[in-house]
Amino acid sequence: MTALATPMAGSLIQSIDWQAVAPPLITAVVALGVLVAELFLPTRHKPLLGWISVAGLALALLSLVPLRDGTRATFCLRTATGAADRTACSYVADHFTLVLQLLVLAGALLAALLSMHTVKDDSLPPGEYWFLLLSSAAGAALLPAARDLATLVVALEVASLPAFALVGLRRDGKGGEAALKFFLSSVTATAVMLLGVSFVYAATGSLHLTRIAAALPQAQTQLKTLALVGAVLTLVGFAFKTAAVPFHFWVPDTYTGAPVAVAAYLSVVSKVAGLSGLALVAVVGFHPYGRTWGLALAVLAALTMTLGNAAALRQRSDTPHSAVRLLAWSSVAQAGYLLVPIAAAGYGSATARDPLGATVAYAMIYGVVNLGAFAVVALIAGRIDDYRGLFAARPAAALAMAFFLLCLAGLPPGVIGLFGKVVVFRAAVDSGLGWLAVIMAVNVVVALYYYLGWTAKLFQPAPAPVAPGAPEAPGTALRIPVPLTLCLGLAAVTGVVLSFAPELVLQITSGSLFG
Amino acid sequence: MNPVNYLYLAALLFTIGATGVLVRRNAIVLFMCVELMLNASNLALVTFSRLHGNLDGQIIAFFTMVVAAAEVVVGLAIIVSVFRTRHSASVDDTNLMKL
Amino acid sequence: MTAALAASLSSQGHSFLSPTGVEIVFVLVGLAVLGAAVLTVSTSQLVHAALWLVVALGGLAIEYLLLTAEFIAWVQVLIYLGSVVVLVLFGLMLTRAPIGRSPDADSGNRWVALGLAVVAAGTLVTLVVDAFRCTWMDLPASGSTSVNGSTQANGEVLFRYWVLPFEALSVLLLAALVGAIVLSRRHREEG
Repeated sequence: MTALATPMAGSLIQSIDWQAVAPPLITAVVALGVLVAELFLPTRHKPLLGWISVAGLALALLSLVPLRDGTRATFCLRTATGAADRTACSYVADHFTLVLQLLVLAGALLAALLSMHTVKDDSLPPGEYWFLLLSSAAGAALLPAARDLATLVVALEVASLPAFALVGLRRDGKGGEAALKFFLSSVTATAVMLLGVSFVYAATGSLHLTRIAAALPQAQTQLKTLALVGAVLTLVGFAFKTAAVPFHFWVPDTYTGAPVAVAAYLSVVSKVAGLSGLALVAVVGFHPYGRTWGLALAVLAALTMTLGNAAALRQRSDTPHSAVRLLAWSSVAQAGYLLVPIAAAGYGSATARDPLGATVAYAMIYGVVNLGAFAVVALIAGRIDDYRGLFAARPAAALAMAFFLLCLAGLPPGVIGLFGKVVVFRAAVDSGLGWLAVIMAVNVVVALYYYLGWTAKLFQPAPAPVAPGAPEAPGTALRIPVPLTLCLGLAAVTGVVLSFAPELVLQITSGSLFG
Repeated sequence: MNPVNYLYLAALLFTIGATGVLVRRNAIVLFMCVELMLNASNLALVTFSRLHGNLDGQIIAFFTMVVAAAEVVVGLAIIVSVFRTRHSASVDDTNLMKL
Repeated sequence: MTAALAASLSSQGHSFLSPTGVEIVFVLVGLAVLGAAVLTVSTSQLVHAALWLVVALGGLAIEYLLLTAEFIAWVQVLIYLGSVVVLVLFGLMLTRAPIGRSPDADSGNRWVALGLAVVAAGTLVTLVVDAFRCTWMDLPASGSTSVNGSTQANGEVLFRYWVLPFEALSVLLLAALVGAIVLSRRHREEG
């Protein structure tokens, strides 16, 4: 049944469906193109590289359109007769993959728009920056499509290794420390994950998720514990990327040390990539152990949202970088909400409604809104106290920020945030995780405190300009750079459109994403 | 041979590496400890590959080695760049493990 | 050498009591690896730690040969001994690690960590003992490629079933290269 049961059958190399792999492939090729193009562009044309990258990501998004029936698979194993075995493939473009690739690539596109501002402001090396961003995005786009543990591990590394370098790009010395902390803890998580992978392989003899799921119930009794421990350790690596407690401690320091656009990228694209890996391994691979890891993930989700919110509450608003730190803790708490439906998918019995859809829907809402909030932070930066009086100085930015914060909190007029939370809620209740729903409700209410506190600051009158050089002081240019406007506008328009027509996102929750 | 012997070795090696990660504070030594953990996973993978009679385990061990090589390149670049601003490779100095 | 080892492996019966040549080599090398690993982790002289790491990783290469994973063994020698350790040594030189003892090497929570380590080691060992106490490695019929970890067998499997992660690795390596260059170059520009 394993790969080697069919020696020498068929041609020597796997056949490749190029159209199916187009989204990550286009991203990687554009990354390479940008790296080469940088050599030939004179310095004054360097901003062009950013637009090339954005165009490349848009092209990758377009390449999702012909795949939308969700039936493609490539890099498959072979059956005994030498034909491709469509149940065990390394790359599957089903609806789960497509929705998450849409999310990852769109998130990367918004982060790229944000980056144009950052690259210019912090004078980062443009060619290398765009190359690293795009190759990380290619890895993140590959991850939701991967259906075997080797590809998952490699894709996770492709998504995170360029991110280490991106975090370390800032010149002021904080970047290096942030990158070092991120790097060392991430590498340790990878080592633990690989031990888990080896245990899973020991118990099942295969690396393809579908075959693992088929082999687990038949594993010899003495291998059951080993397989279970392997499953848990494998999930650690992905939980780290998702920034779930107890693997969250790198988040605030890394986000503050990194350039703002990179922090935005990490908080959305990297997190969603980790989440999709977690969902794939748990739901597809370890399906037979659903009850066990479902409960474990439920506890993890409860801890993550509670600790994330507690830390966000303690965040003072007058310390340097407090805006990014608060968003960092809020992203930890949001990761907790995102884990709830995955836990429900394992814990509950199979129902008509796939709980995973709730995670994906919530992730889309969170992604758009969070990137929007980061765009405003990139514009204003600094401490939360600096946002006082923003409405008077920059009404558009202040209104957008208020909208994003209310969406994150789940209050009207950020209706879409509310819908997202309701969907997640329903998934928890449907699968019998009532206690988790209660914890989540308490957390949502607690989180209102800091989201509303920040929103209120936006509309307070500006303080007397005692601090010279405060960002909103008169004399600073009130013009918002074009890419940043575009990013803000896209995020705000998407948020508003979704608030009026939530069914665009919520229809994901109605059917099954796999198959 | 009983494969459990190889697995003993892998388990002990992994724990030694993990202990090092917890105890040591120099970034480069920490990194060496992580290499020990990765190698322990590799040994387990190759043993299981032999046990199952297919090469998938060896292939992923090979991938792990390449990943480790890529990590060491970026990791040392980060460590050296931190050192240049801090003049120490100790993790504690930089308050890095602060929660 | 590998063929001889494989032959001695296959001629050996299921006995705990009569050790074969392979088992003796395994035990000796295994003890050396463990000792070197402990020294890597515990020595306060950073350069010595790197050199003990060489011993540990080289010993593992021999263990791979005993497992007839020839390709992996040589990749281990090439990548780990050839590049990783050399890079680590370069890293130590560039950060001007003291040749003697370095005071910043240990953290205060040593006893907690040691306790945790003993617990973790116990758990892992009981886990694998439980799972594989009664398992024996089945040896392949001679001539079968299925367990032979030769370069050819590995290459065939790699390109027949694992093309996708292999290609993804190429992106990873290029990203690592560019990332390392960009991280170290900007300091030179600053002076």
